[in-house]
Amino acid sequence: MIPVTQKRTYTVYQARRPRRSVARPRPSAVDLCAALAGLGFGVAIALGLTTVSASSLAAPGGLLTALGRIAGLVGTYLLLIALLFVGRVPAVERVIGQDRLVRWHRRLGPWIVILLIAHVVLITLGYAKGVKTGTLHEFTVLVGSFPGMLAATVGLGLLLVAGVTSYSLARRRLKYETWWAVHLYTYLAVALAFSHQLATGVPFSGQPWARTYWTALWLLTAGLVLVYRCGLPLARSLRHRLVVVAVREEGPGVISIVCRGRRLDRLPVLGGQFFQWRFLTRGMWWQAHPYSLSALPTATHLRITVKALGDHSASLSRLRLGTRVAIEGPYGVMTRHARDTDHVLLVGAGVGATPLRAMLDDLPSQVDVAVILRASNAHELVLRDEIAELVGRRGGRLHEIIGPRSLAPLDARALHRLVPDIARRDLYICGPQGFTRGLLRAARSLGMPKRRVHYEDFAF
Amino acid sequence: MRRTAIVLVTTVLGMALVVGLHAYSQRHAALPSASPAALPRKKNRAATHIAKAPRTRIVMGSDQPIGGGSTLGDLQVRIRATGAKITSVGFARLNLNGPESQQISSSVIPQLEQQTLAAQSANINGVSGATYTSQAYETSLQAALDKLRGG
Repeated sequence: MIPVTQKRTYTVYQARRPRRSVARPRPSAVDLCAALAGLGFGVAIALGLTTVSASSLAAPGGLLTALGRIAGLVGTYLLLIALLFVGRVPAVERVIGQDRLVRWHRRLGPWIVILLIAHVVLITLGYAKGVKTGTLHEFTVLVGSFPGMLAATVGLGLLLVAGVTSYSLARRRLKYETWWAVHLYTYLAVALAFSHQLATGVPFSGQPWARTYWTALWLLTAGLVLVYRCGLPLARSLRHRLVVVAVREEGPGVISIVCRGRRLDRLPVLGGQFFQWRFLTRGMWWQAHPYSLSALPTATHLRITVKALGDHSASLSRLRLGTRVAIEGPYGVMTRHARDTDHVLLVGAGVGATPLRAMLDDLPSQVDVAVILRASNAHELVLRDEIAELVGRRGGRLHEIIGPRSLAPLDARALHRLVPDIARRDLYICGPQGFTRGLLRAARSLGMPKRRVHYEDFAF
Repeated sequence: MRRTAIVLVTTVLGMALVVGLHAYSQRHAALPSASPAALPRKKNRAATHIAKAPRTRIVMGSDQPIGGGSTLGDLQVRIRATGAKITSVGFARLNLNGPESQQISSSVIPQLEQQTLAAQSANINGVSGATYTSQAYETSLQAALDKLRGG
């Protein structure tokens, strides 16, 4: 095992550019996905509409049944889309970014729950009207005697629990792990709901094409989720076999974890990206946490630098050397590909400096670099020496702003004073949410176009 | 913004595509569905003439309400059988007034008829999405078969 102290030379053997090939983000691929998603949405609505006719609407309960059916189809379709948003499909991740995809997933959630509840209520009311029976009685008949309905009811129950626990009020009172476990059941919920759709769904009865299409849609979603959320991370973890070889303190409460692995130069990662980390020890193997690389990997080693904030990151400092590590990723769009120009300004607060440190490894040599590091005291300037060295080699500028926010603010005026040509640069921001918000405001008031401001929001 | 536009346009496109195809297939399916009742009748008559085949009979099933009450409609199966073989299925009575009546008459009924001819009994799968109609149909058909086989 390599002694901890030797790891200080990390930046030195970093210099060679590795032989990894990283796919560029292709916005047109996402346009295509958007087009397909739109087509599918239209088809879902239309499948409901094909069962509607003047006479069916005139029949008792006809309108309610038709609306209930469309609500079910649209709700289910959006459910599949919501799963794909968090399906970690690389072509989409590379362009949109995981933070935005997760935000979209969360925004879609309530609509799905509302539509599916509307589906149950409207169909029950419509059928009850049609056979002139009590609503509750009809509900028990529907659940009890129609094929696949019992499973679907259980599925909706699971989905509701996941919905309620994701509601921000409940979410704040729950441990992340509890929420995550409950959320995992939504996959079961989705699977349980499938059979009643083909078995009792009028749009699919006697319509082999509709049945085939709907089944294909589900298989496609399941396939993508399985391949990209399970298969790819598993394959990468097995291929690269990461093992913790060093844990060292970088500053108060900040540690670096160095892992050794196989063929890390083939890992298609860019500076600024992060992985979901799963340390395979007894208490931690089942939870994955996002940490950015704090340097581009060499052929044999990679490193993250973490601040001990939550329960999890605090327990990292007690990691035993030799611990195996599984990774999911890389994810993140805050990379060299995001920039519009060859002039960049990297602004990092506290431990937010770590992905910027990795970007300095990765930015092409012609890029003109300015860096601002922000911390409340000098000890909290994470990886300051390495950053200073890399910036110096490029002939860039490094500014350090140290002190409490009230005395050393980083507002539009301060930014402009430090970096007068800021308006023509690409701005990369990494820090706590409040810090990022403040800088975004400053950038806007300095007239920076949105497409040249890059940040990721990790408040989930 | 651009992607929102893409999604909106393709949504309308997808809707138009399916609704259009559906309307098209409905129009074309409507024509042949009128004839099957007439066709087998001729064949059977020809068959009885040539081979002096067993007697051809027409039997009515029971009059069944669809669903709990009869508000979704009611039906009464009528089968035509040569010997013990069911050669065609029709309806002495078919009133559909539930929300799905259109769908049922155009797609469910033909499926039930096909299943009957294939199974040669009332032991059929029925049609998903039309559980009440399938149940009424099976009960009525069973009554007809009982009559047929009872003499």
